[in-house]
Amino acid sequence: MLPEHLLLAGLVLLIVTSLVRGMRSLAFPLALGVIAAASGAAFWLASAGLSAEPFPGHFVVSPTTLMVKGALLALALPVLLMSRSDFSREGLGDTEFPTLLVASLYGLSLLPSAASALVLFLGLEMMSIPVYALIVLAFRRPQSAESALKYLVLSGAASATLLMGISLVYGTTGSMDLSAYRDAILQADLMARTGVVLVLLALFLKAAVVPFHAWAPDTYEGASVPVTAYMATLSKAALLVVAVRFFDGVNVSGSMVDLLAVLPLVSIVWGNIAAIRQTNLRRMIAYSSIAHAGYLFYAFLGTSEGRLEAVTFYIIVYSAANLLAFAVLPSHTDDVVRDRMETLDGLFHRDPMAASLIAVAMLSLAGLPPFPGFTAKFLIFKSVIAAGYSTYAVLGLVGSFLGLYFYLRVVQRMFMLPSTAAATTSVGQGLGKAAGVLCLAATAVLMIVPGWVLDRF
Amino acid sequence: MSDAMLLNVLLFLPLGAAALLAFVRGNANAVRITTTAAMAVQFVIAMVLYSHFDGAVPGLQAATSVPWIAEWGVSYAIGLDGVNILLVLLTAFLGPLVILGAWTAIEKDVALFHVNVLLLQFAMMGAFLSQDLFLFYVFWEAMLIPMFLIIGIWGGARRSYATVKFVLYTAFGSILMLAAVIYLVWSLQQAGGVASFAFADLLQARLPLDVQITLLAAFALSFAIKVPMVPLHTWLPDAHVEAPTPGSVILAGVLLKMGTYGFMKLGFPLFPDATRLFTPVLMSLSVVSIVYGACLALVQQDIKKIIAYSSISHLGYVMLGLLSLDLAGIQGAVIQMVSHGLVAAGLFLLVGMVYERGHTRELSAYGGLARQIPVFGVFFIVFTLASVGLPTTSGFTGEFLVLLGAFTAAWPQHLDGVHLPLILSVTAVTGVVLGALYMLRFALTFVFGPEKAPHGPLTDLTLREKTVLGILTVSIFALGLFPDSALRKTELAAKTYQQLVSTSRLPNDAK
Amino acid sequence: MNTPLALIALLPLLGFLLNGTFATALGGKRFNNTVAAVIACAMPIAAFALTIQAFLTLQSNGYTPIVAPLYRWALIGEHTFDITFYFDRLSAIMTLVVTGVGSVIHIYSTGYMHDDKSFGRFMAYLNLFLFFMLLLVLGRSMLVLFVGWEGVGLASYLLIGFWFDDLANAIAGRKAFITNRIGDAGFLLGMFLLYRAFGTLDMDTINSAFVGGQAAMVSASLVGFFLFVGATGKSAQIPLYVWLPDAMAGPTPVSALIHAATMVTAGVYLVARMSGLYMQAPDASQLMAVVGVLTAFMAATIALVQTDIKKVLAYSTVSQLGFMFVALGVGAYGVAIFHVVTHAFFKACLFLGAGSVIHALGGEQDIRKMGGLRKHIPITFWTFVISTAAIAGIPGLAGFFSKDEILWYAFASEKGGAPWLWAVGALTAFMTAFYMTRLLWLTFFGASRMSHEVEHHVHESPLSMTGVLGVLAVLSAVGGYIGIPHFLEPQIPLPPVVESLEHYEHTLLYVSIAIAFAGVALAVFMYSGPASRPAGIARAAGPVRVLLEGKYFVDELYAAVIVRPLAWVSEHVFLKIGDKMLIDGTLNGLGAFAQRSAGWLGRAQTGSLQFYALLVMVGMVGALLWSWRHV
Repeated sequence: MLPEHLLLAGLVLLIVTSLVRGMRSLAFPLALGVIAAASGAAFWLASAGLSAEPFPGHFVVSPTTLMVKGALLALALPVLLMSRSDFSREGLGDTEFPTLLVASLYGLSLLPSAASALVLFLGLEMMSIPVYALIVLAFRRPQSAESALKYLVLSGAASATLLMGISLVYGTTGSMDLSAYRDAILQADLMARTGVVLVLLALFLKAAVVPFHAWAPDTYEGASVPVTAYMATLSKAALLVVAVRFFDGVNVSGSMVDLLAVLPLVSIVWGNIAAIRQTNLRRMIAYSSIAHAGYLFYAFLGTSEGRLEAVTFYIIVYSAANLLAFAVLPSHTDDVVRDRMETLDGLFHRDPMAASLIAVAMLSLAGLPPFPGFTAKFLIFKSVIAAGYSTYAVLGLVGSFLGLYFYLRVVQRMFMLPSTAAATTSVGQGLGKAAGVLCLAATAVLMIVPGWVLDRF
Repeated sequence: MSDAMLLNVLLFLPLGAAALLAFVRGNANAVRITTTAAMAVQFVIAMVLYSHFDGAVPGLQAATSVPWIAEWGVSYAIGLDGVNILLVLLTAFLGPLVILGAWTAIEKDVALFHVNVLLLQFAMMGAFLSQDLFLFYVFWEAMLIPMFLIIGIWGGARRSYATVKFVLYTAFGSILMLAAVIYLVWSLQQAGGVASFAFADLLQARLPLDVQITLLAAFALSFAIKVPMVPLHTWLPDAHVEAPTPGSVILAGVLLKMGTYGFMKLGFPLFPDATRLFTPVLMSLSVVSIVYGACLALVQQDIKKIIAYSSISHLGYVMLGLLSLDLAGIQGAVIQMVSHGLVAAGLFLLVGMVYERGHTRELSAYGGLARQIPVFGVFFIVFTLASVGLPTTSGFTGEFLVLLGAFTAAWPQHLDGVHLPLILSVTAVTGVVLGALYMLRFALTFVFGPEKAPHGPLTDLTLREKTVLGILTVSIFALGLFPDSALRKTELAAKTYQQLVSTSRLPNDAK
Repeated sequence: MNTPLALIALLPLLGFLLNGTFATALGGKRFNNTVAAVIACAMPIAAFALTIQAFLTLQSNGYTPIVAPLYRWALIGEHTFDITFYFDRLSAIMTLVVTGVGSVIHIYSTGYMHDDKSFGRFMAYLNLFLFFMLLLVLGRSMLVLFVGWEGVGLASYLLIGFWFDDLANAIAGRKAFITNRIGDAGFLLGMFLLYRAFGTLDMDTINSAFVGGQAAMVSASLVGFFLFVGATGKSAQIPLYVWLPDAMAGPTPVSALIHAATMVTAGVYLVARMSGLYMQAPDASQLMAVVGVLTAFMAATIALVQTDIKKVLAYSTVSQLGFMFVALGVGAYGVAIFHVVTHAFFKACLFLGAGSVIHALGGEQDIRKMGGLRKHIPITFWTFVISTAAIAGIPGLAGFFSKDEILWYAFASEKGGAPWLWAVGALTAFMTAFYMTRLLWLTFFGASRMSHEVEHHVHESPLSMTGVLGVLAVLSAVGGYIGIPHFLEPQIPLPPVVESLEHYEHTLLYVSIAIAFAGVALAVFMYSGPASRPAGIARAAGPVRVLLEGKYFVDELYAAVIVRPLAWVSEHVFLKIGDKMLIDGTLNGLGAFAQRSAGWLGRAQTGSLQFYALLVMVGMVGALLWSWRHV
């Protein structure tokens, strides 16, 4: 449990720094170090091939889970790096952001290894609760509070549903173990089925799958850039890890198939179409994330082997792209302006690097070859077709085709329109760029040697 | 250095050059020179490989194959064969000429532009060279983005509409093709147990007819859009009109060959039975393209649109030749691809040169150019006649062999009472009249008649422009007068294609 | 031994390349007119010399054809397409005519075009034409013939539109090219059929196959028909003759060389060359004879009323070509070639004479504005008289022999000869004599109708022109004594004559002599007298005259039936409805729909938490109910 321990220790230290006046400035580097160390540790243990059961039946560690853990934690680094442009001054979250982030990450890092519904639930909550705070943290505009509330309420509802589902499953199988869920799915009695479905719906709700998606656009828009980035990538990623854990070793069938095919399909189409008309970036990303949630849940149609691989690869690619876009997003004193699409017009002429990186991100999200977004989609749809759901695959692909337009629209704005806004710089933009480069490197690796990456899972 | 090594260099050279441009991006001419140099080197390499290529040896030459995504059976596999050898040469040949010919066409963001051109060159080469379906698809799609930027950034007034139309059109085709690719590989995995994207393995595939039909439909849609075949062609005129000169040249010169190449390399050989079943439909569409494209070229007022529609007509011949399954027809199709590459490139360069001088593409704005700028007039007439398919030009070699093949293949069927192929090939023959009709209409008021120029007198071609056009002219006559050496390189591949498509590969047939 | 043959064709090409590069704007006019003229004339003359040499070798080895392979153009499977030159009696005659007449016309042009600003370009084009024409007559394979065939079309296109500043000329050139292309499509089909049947395009092989009767797999008549379609284009027969009169827009030497002496006879050559095939194709031959005689008649009637000196000659050319096809149609291939040769002489002479007249009058072409020129330009006059007499069929002159033989075989040949063919032919001959005399008279006799300054400037042409006229006049006079049909007989036998008709030969001979003189006499009678005489007849003719002067309104017909409909359909059906409405309409519609639905979905995002919660509830209940179905 070395990574978790590191995070915990880091968390404690961070709290201390925030209490002691002189040490505030240490918070950021400290958090950075801790996260880096934790993820490094995870990778190291994985490569060492460690597998153990610290808490039998509750918490298992295997190279694969460690890899996933390491990857997720690594993805948190850009988030932290880009945070400086928004949270750098006292009272504006210079210590709070790192602290809350690490806190949330601690919960997140439990999820891949969770072997029991209990731990999963705990981890999920420990991850989500800091996020409520993050949204309102140092809020720049009235929506922040509102979006935090929406998120709070609906993901509260999600937790409740999840809890309900788990307990129903427990009722039928008498076990908290995840394998119980497996059995429950196979059972045909009302209670078990209800429990199973409730768990699934809870996951849908947290991952913003249509029709449980409504909170996402508002929340994303209300939150500040780093937080949106965090929600759009890591918390969604964590959600999917949870889902994978639940469905571990399950080949879905019957009415579950309908739920797992139809609702994601609707999300794909809905998200991609609704995004077309969006005039502000975070809302657009929100809709795109709704669509991507759809693709991700498609992966559950297939057989369970290779599912973790497909999902993890996808979320890494997807997160890397999203973070890349957010990291190099030109900063602006007025967050509302910063969020407007028009601000991107002619960006290439103001800041070629930023424009190019965002373009890469968009094309990767659009799933255009040669960018890794394509490989990831390919992997998902491969599994769907292999599972024999060719029709859903075709429909999904056509849905993804609809998405092309608004991603390209962004590129058009940046490269083909005259520049309107003036170039602005702000503290931490350098760090943001660094984060961007980090993500670009990741994207490049995923693009050039996807095979190597896939072998790790 | 071994040929295989050389081929990899050939492929990645533009990529390297693109990286290099980062260092000279400040100086426009340095950028252009670097790009031209890189392209020239690439052409030299291509020539070497071409001369080493032995048409009598079956299978791939100068091939490389290393696992890329091992667990899916995807590998980085490239190589030369009779199908792609000429197109690779064409691509490498046009590369430097495009840059030279349109030296002054681009003044804004020069570095970014040439980076895009180089990336496009890389992607196109890759698409031609790939011997692995996944790799092919990646390159195939990768061509979209640079072209999207080239038209979108340096294009004309309606470029936004044109680019979106271009991308969505082509992407829609390829998205369905993607589904087909996945399905194809997966079903083979079911049958054979091992997953592989290698063409060689896929061409062993035995699929039931209904599957073949579905997959062919998906592939054909994607390829037909790229060709483009009527009625999937409307993206082309817009793209051409809005694209900057070099964009149009690359688009017409190389990009349009992707579709026909795809059909010849994959579409038809992968699904022979479905192909034979749907030959009447596809053949009809090809002939419709020939006639329809010609008719539309006849009534255009925009000089770029005339050539754009003429491309649709000329590529119809290629499709006809491929579908005739007659050796002459297939060989003719290959030559016609190259010929169209050279001729259309030349015509678009010429139009671009006029546009740089007159700043309008309205046909009615010009007149008597042969009197005003005689050297231009000479080249224009030469390329026009090549486009018309006049003997001794490459256009004739292609059209003649295609029509010969189509007709001789159709004749015996006609004797059995199957009239459609004959009707189609005869109609295609009348296409040569239409071809003359629209090109000479173009030439009539453009280079002949009373002198007319949009504003002020025009200046005749510069030495640079003359050189580029001169080189193209020579190549056109070379292919028209001495096609045999090229035909030697491709004949075996043509025979293989013919044999692949004409023999059934249904599962139940005995192996 | 193979170099000279290739050289015959390649020398003019060399001339074209040299002049085309250095005597035109392309190379910045490095050659002055003299250099250009020397090069341009040297090439055909040298070619002529080589041809004579080749002819002598042919003679010396007993007329066994000379075969000179050059290189392999393409190999498809086991079928080869070779570029091979072939020299036998037939190609010998054609080559001699082409290079011979070609040479003198080149010389003539140096005088005629001397003051033209694009002299070099003109000479280059002439050389280019000669190159393709020689390919046409020297090729062994139909492919080579076709290359020449389209090549001469190109040269003709460029030369008709030579003075392209006047759009009308360029349009005439385009018309010629397109009309020929229509014929070429037929030619291609014929070629394909032959290739399908024999796997080769070598014409000697194909002929012998037909003669030997191992050609069961393909219908000779069908192939014959397709090739004839090609011929109608090149040799201006119904229905594709319309381009030739317009072709007079080109400089007069061009009309003489291309549109009288050589190119337009290519169709005749093709048929004669494929005689082996046509002997097996009675239907196609019948068709040829009929089309030929109709063309001859129709063109002659139009020629009656033309007032442009070159137009008269143009229609007369069409008419004479018709005669040749009659001969071909009745199997008298040698006779057709005979007429090709004599026609080359006298028609070239006539055109060049006309050129000399136009030159003298500073560009005037309307015979109504001429008259009385015989005093001013005597040489031109006398040569014109001789050649007119030749074409009119005055005994002893070239035209008489060939035309008489044509009429005889049209009457008596066992292969489709028929009295009515003869009758129409004879009537046409009568009209020919008439309209040629009319032309002669209006131009050279009577009172001058020229404006004064024109009359003042009238001058005889330079030696380079008059000398050529002299040569051609002599040839027109004596050309008939070359017994070409009998020279060709070993290679292309003459058709047998129906015994029962043999004894008519002399009768018909006298009849046609009478006809010739009658035609001449009538013309003299009409135009020597007061102008009221022809005018009165014209008035009497009424609607007929309108019809003739309107050239039977064939151009108008084609425009209304083909040209305009094609443009209309392309514009309104294909472009407006097909592309714009159906295809793009649908696509843009889909795009708009996507946009609109995006709007709807956006509006679903009300921002009210209650609504979202409701959505969630509905979703959950729905999902649960659904999942309970099978429980």
